[in-house]
Amino acid sequence: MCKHLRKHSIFCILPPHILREIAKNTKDSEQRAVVLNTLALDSTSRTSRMNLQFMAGTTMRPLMAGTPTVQRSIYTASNGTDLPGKLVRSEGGPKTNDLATDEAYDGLGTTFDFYEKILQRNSIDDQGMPLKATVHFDNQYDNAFWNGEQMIFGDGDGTLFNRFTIALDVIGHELTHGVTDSTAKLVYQGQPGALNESISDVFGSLIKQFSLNQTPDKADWLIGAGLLAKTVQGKALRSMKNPGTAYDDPQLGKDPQPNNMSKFVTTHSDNGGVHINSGIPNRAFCLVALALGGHSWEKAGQIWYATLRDSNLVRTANFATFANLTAKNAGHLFGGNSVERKAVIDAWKTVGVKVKGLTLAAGGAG
Amino acid sequence: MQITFQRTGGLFPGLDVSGTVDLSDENHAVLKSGSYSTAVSPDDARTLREALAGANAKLLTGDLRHPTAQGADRFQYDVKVKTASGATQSFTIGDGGLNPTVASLPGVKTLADWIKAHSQQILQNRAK
Repeated sequence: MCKHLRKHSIFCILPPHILREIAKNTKDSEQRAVVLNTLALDSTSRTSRMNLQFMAGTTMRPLMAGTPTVQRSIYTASNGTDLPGKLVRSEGGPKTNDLATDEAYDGLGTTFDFYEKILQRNSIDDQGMPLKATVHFDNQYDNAFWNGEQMIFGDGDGTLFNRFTIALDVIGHELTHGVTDSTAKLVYQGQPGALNESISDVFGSLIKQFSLNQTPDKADWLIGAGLLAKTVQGKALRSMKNPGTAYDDPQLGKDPQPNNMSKFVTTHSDNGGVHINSGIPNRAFCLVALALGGHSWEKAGQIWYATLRDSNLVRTANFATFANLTAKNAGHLFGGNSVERKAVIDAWKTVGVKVKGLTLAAGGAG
Repeated sequence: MQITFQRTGGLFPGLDVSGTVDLSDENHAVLKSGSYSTAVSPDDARTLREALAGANAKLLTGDLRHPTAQGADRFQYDVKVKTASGATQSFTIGDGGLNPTVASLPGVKTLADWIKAHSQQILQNRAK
């Protein structure tokens, strides 16, 4: 990984936080450039100790230097709709004994830790963006969302839904929308919108697995487990492993997610079915993670994150484009004929995404 | 006059709701959604009629959502208005604000806010 940095090989063994300090403090512009370059290379490799043959031919969006420090602010809307509302807990503040406030605070912390420790990402924007969330939004509000600046959580109506802070993967899901906003900026409509949703589910699930130190075979691959009230016939909002099976309830209807491209839903609703067709790439990711073993974030997660940051991932990317890029990044990270790249190709094939030229080839990169 | 709306989106498709407001009877406007039915207060009915009368009908068409201020996991509302003459208009609004071209039109925000509030009410009544 350090072939082009031989003069500065010491940088290749230093941990990221020291590299960031050097970058911040050095007065030598050449040294700063080398350190930043090392950080950029290092970021996608250090955690899983991968075989890095990459970078030649891959343009990554830059990683920014800076000391990662989480800065959380939790507000309450007091069942109104004014945002952000009244500050109820800030960084380092004591527990409030309000469940939603403390769950949001802890969830933001775990999400920040995951991005920092596993992906070497300094908050949502990779520049240390403070994390802001509002709880108790509106009256019995049945939703959680990202408004482009912060997360907002409703309390749920108590009959169909519990409070929306109850599920860590939902918190990770919302924050990851911010990550996508600051990287690929996928359009929130149709296939790119479904990819946007899927990426939030993927990293939301990884954050939950990270917090539980789970391997993919032990993970439930559910999004929003615990969010549905007891009376509802269902286990979660979505199943990444078996899309379309999360719930089947007289009030909520049946989970409409397809598990294969042959069942792709064309609709005007839901921004062109972004929460429906996300089941297809969700399942592809799950299949890759299960095939590769270890922890899901070590290989599958690194491939997906590299793809999210790949400058070839355009805002209007469809499933096939995304699939191609995951195969390309798997090739760059693990080798053209690696089992990792084969697992990616096999997964997309299983979910019916046809990708031109997506075959294993000596040294191929998709 | 009749307003039909469908809310989709949110964090997952189980949050979808739809409703119809029949304003044809001056004194007995009704909101219906499946088996759920509730009277619309005379004040609310008047507000809706005035909102539609005040809006520029030619502009109430297509996607009226603010192009950049929507965020993710927010609701989408598809609205169809049928006037007394039988003419129909269809448009889409969202939780993240209105397109600047229509945001300042009298009545549009009132109509949007009413639909949003009552969509939530329908879901909560579904839960009971």
